[in-house]
Parts: sequence; structure tokens; C-alpha cells
Amino acid sequence: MNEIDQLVQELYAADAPLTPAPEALWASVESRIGALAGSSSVRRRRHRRRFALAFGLALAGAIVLAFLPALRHSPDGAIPENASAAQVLRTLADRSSALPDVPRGSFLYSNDTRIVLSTSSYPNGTSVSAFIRQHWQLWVGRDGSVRQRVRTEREYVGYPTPRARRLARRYTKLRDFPLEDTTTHSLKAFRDGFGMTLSAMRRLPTDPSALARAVLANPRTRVWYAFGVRYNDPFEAAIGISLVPVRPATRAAMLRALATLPHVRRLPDESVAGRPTVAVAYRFVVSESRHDAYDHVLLLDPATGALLGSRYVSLFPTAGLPAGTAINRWTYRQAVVPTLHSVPKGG
Amino acid sequence: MIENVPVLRVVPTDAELLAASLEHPESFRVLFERHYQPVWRFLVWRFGGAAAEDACAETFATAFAERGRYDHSYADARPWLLGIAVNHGRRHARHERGRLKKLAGTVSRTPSGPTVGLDPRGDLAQGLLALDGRDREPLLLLALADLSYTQIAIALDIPEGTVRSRINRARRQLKEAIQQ
Repeated sequence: MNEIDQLVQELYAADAPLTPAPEALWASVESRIGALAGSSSVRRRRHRRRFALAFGLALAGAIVLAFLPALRHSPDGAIPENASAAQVLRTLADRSSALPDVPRGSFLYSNDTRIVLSTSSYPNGTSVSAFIRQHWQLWVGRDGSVRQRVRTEREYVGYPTPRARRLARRYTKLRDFPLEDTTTHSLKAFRDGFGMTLSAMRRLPTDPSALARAVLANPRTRVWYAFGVRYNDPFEAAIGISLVPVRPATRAAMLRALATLPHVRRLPDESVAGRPTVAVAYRFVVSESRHDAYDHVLLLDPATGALLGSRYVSLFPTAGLPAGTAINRWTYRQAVVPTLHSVPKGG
Repeated sequence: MIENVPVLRVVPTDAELLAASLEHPESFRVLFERHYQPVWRFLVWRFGGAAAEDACAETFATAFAERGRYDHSYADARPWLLGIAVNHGRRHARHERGRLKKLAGTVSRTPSGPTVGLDPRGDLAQGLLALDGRDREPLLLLALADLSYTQIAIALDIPEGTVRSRINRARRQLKEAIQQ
């Protein structure tokens, strides 16, 4: 198998479902061997399954932005610099629980701009890294409808090293990626995107321990995939929930649940787009064999608990960048809007 | 002198299983257990879960129906099964095209996480879409099913030299597609 074959295999193998149990497949074979194949009822069942799959794929694997509640400002209050990450998260939970619920008929609108390091491998062995910028918008209604809009900028926005700049110019080009704009009202698509249905998320417990059990222990909401790499990151689970119009008490409980996690620590305060934030980080390992480990940093509004920014910091040298460098960065906005096509002032 | 001592085969070949299944259909289950994983993987990678389930079941059902015509000079039935899978896969080609078209137009459908790739998957998917089906099938049997040239020739019922030339042509076109 040469490099092209390897690339083809990786392309096809990405996100492939697990092999089902042989008993299940054999049952399908037996039903056909038993002269059932070709009957109209079997054909109808197959068409229904195919239709369901196509509908689910419309959104599957695509809807994860990164937000926490940012519906409005609540009373300000400085958080002591010596407060621990757990204390910070519990304080923000108290402040965020006063935020209003998203009214029926309304939509939670989320907007983020992300700058991410993209690495490409070419058949001649060359690896090219460059930063790209994407603009994501997401509308999630109280009725479970979801609209997602993604725009990718055509030009690279930066390079990790001068060599990467030279290689990127030589080997790669950014095409005009089509603007993605999809809307779905499918329950299944919603569950595929967020790990559970909206009604299930609205019913999530507000006790932090129970919430942690329901969400952080649920592989569908906790385990994430990126280019065939599987990793656990409870911060991502929290972010996924925060995109959805769950009850404010649930959002608050999520912050309290994060406060109970090991490996969460506080970083020095910083500002995002001119707004002060408090920073907390969760350290996790992607693959022990590859020694990939990251700090997932959340930058939270000290007044509301809203997520204003986040980043991944690689703890190992990546693409010519030294260990401890932020490789992906997000900045966030969130608002309540009346329709699937409403955009608040400022985008 | 040892005479009339039966040769005990602890592990029957695929050909023997298929022959036995003519009188004892339950033997076919052993063949299924032996080969369902590579057949499933080849189909699910190309067509997705639901279509693969149908195509995989259809593949083994066809194999069961056609087992009397199996060439018993081939001990390993995997190329034969994958050849049947290729034929059934044609009915699901639109799923594969849809997946490739989706990949061709995206940077990354994984919107978060520490690793984000802008690798040549988009160009590669476009290249695969542009390939002649006669060149694509041998390449996919090699890359996805790990068949040898000889086995691919058996699966597709074409000469081995033709397999080699088609795979080389497909590789060359794909390389050009991602290096444009």
C-alpha cells in the first residue's frame, strides 16, 4: 500500500461506525436466504432506513461550537485572584443561574470566530501547517429546530513558522469553500449533533452530581472525534450543552459540575476583545501513545459566567511551535433572537 | 504403511466450507463468521452504515445462492465475496458519491477539538469522484480491503495486468488531484 492508498483509506475510514455484532448481520442474511429478499415490505423498510440515515448525516458530526451562557450582563463582582478554579466556577454558576430562560418561540443564537491550526500531509511526505479562520453561526430553537451557517476565509491567516509559510505557498491553496447553511427540524439530527434531544436536555437534572453522571459520563455527549482521534474532554461536553436553550439552572449546574473535575485549574485573568475574563483550564491526553496532551482553556465573563473565548494549548511541540503554544482560538457571542434568520446587531 | 487414514483438517478452507454447505447449509454460517468483518468494513467505509448493512447481507445472501458455482480451486473465498460486494455496492453508489461530494467541499466537519486538519481530503475526494469507475474499484479493493493484485483480479474477474495498470492510473490521477 503506497501513500495514495493510505490517504484513500484514511479518507474512507474517517468516522466509520463500529462493526455490528455478527448475530445482527447474520439475522439480515438469514432473512434474505429465507426468500424474503425483494419483497415489497423489505424494500420499504430499507428505504425508510436510508432516508433516516441521509437525514441524520445532514447534521451529524458538524454541530459543535463553543459557548457558555451570555444572555445578558448580571451584576458585576470581582473574583479574588487567589480563588481556585473550583471557587471561580461555583461563583459563576451562582451568577449565571439568575439569567432568563430562552422563551418559547425564540432561538438561542451563537456566533463564533475561530482561528485553528490546520496540518496537511502530502504523499511525498511533506507536512504543511497553517492557520485558517472560520465564522460559525448557530440558531437552536425551543422547538428543536437548528440552523447552522459556516464561512471559511479563503486566505490563510498565519503560519506557525517561516518554513511553514514557504511550504504552504508551495503545496497548498485554499479553495473557495462554499458557504454552508443548513436547517433541520429532525429530532434524530438534533440528537446526532448534540448527543441527546432538546427535550432530554431540558429535563437534565440541576444537581451537579446527577448532571455530571447524565452528561459527562455519557459517551455521546462526552467523547469527541477529530480526524480519527478519539478524546475525552468534559469542557467540550459543557460547551455542547451551552449551545442549546437548556434551563438556566442546568447551565449553572454544569459550571458546578465542572468545578468538581480533577485537572481543572485557574490561570491568570486576561481580556478577550477588550472584555475582562477569568480563565480556567482542563488538562487532557488525546493519545498516550502519541503523547498528545492539551490544556483546554475557557475564558469566562466574571459577571455572567458567559464564555467569551477558549483555546487549545498543546503541551507538546506541534507543527514547529514550541510546547505551551495555543494552536486553536475561539471568540464567542450569544443572544436570543425571534427567528431562525434573525441576527443580532454586530453579527 | 498407513492407509485409509482420514486426513483431519482442523480448519476447513473456504472452498471446503462452501462445498459442505451444499448439503449442510449451516456450514455457510462459518464462512460468514470468517469473512463478514472485511466485507462489512469495505462496504461501510464506502456507503455508510445503513446501506452497508443492506449490501453486506445481500452479499452473503448472493454468495449462499451462488455457492454451487464457486471455483473450488480458490481456497480463500474473500476475493469472491468482495467481488460480489462490489456488485451490490453499485446499487448504493449514490451514497458514496454523496459522502465524497460532502468531503470535497469542506475543510473540516469537526468544528472543535484540538486537532483540525486542512489536509488534502477535499482534493482527494474530488479526485476520487473524477476517477473512472473501472479504475476506482481496483484501487478501493486494494486500499480498503487490502487485497493483492492477484486477489483483485479474481474479485473483478479481469486479468492481473489490467488490475495493475488501472491501479497505477488511478494513483497517478489522485496524486495530480492533491498536488494541483
